Amino acid sequence: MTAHKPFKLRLFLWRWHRRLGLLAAILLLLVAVTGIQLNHIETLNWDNRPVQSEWLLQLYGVVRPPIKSIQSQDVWYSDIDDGAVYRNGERLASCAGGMVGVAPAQSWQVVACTSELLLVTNEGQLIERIGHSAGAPDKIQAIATCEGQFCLKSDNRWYGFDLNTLALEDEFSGLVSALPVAEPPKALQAHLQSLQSAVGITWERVVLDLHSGRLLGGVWVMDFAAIGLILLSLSGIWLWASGASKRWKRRH
Amino acid sequence: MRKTVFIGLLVCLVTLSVPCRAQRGVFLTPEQFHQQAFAGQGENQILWLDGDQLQQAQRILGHRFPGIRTRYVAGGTRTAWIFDEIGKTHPITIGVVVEASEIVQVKILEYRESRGGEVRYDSFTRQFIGGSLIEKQPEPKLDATIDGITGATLSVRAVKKVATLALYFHSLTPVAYSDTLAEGSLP
Repeated sequence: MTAHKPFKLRLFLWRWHRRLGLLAAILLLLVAVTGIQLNHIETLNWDNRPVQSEWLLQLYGVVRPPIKSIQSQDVWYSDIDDGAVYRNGERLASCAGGMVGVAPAQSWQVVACTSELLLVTNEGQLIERIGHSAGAPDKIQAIATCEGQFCLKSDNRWYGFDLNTLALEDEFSGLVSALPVAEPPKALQAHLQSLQSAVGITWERVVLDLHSGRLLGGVWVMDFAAIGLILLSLSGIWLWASGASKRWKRRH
Repeated sequence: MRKTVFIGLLVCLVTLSVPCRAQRGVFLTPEQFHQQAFAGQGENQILWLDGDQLQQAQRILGHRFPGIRTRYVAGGTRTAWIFDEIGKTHPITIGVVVEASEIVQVKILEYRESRGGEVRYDSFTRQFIGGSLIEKQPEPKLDATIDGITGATLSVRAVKKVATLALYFHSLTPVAYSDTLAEGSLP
């Protein structure tokens, strides 16, 4: 039969004071480091710097919209779902309704958006924007070359379209040759993704969420850390006071 | 009694929401606008713009003109222009007819904003008739006094910009050149 050791509050508190101290120190370090970063967030320029990291964006539930790229005569035209069309990674023009196709026509390139056609020189200069009020069909679904002529798809039908007179010709039923959506070179794709990452999650937000504990599972993590610090302070005071009273008794 | 109050409130709400909904809409198609201006006699034309002209257009609009060419319809001494210009957030489709370097008609073809649709009324657009261009630095100005409309400041501004641009572009067309020749002001 083993004899129970008498419960010693001082020993119990001392043991838990050390354990709690170690755990709280980790969270305290995190709060202190992120606190300093937040104080200097503008100097660090983290308030506008978008998060590029894929796993961090996933953590926030941000899903990048797919990038749509079409190559026409060695030039890549891309739509990164921000209301504009990019030519070799450079912003070309706004594109109402999103890019639906690219086709060479005459000595130019035609970029079709849902609600307008953009005429672009081979050097990348915007010649003209042909919207619905100028004669373009209301909802353009695709554009292509139809037996050497420029044509567009609207209401699920292909029509020839004269880019000079802006007249919609008869329905076309021959061979349609549309440029396919394709994957651009890796460097260009990475550049387009970096443009796309300006979706609202900045490094300031990440630091702020680390500081508040939201990124660690919820604000309750930091609540527990704060309660732990309160307990540490109380147990520390008690341990110091009981030690001091013993020392005082020994001296007197 | 309750039923009467409820119906009364419903009628009030519907009546109040009507002006808001009535702002937006297509009031004239481009074809109808051209038909009114030329009675089917107009021809589609293209005006190419050089660097200086684009800069001037940018000064008039307060932003870059999209593209390096624009379309218009010409018939006799008249030209008709249709432009989309943003009022506050949405583009307003505005048609302007110019004859002998003076505005003869301004029409709002399509209005997409929720407020400020009063610019489409004839009482407002009539003010532009007879307006011409004054050569001022840095950009040409519209020679017409246009009264504003409370609550439609940005839409009024958009219509004024487009009217000025149409006059400026008209001055670059062969039609304007032949007008000047007819007046004998060129050597």
